[in-house]
Amino acid sequence: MAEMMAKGETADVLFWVGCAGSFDDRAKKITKALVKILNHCNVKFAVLGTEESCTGDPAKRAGNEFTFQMQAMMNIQVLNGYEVKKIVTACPHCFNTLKNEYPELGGNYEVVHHTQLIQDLINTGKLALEGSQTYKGKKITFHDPCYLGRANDVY
Amino acid sequence: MKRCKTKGLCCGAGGAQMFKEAEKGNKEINVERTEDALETDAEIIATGCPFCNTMMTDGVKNFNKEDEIKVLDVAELIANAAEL
Repeated sequence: MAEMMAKGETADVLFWVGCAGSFDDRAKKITKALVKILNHCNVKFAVLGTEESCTGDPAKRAGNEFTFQMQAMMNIQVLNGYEVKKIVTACPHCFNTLKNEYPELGGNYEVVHHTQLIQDLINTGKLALEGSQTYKGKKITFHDPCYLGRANDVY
Repeated sequence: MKRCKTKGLCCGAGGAQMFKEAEKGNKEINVERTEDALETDAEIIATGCPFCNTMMTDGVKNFNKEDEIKVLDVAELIANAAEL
């Protein structure tokens, strides 16, 4: 984001990577998969890099409202500084916090989960999957993440 | 899975079962949830959350089925399907 700003460019969407997507070896692969999709579809996106911090969700869930607000205020300052309008995240926990708990602290953004963005890319024809043989005939079951489904009604 | 959408069972991570000692009971929550998934005879368990992914992967390992059943994120499924 900082590099883009220095060049005078703006990103259409900010990819909020989150702790798992940044540090967990398994989740890093998910981050890479999403970036491949975004690049493939020519989505102009940016990341905060080292300027991204924890959303404060674990602190809030554990009852530490003070730490949560400190984290949130810090992030909102960075996000507002870059005039971020739209955020995509691959983590339902970040998604829920950014979407529902940041507005009352002054952080108003359009927040989408990566599954919603991918659906949008498919609907608008930017991502074509017809004729793909990779998963043909395979049985796939979907496990609903709590903060995506039950907390935010995204099924 | 029978328990899905509004009736979907927790993977355990949201209740911090990923980080702390298990709550009282006779079964780990992720094992119970993995049983739901195994019942469907699916080859792939898809999730949209890195924490669910970890919990389900551990559950599959608990049944020693990690060679037959893959746990993948929706983004990975799409990226693989589009051959990116």
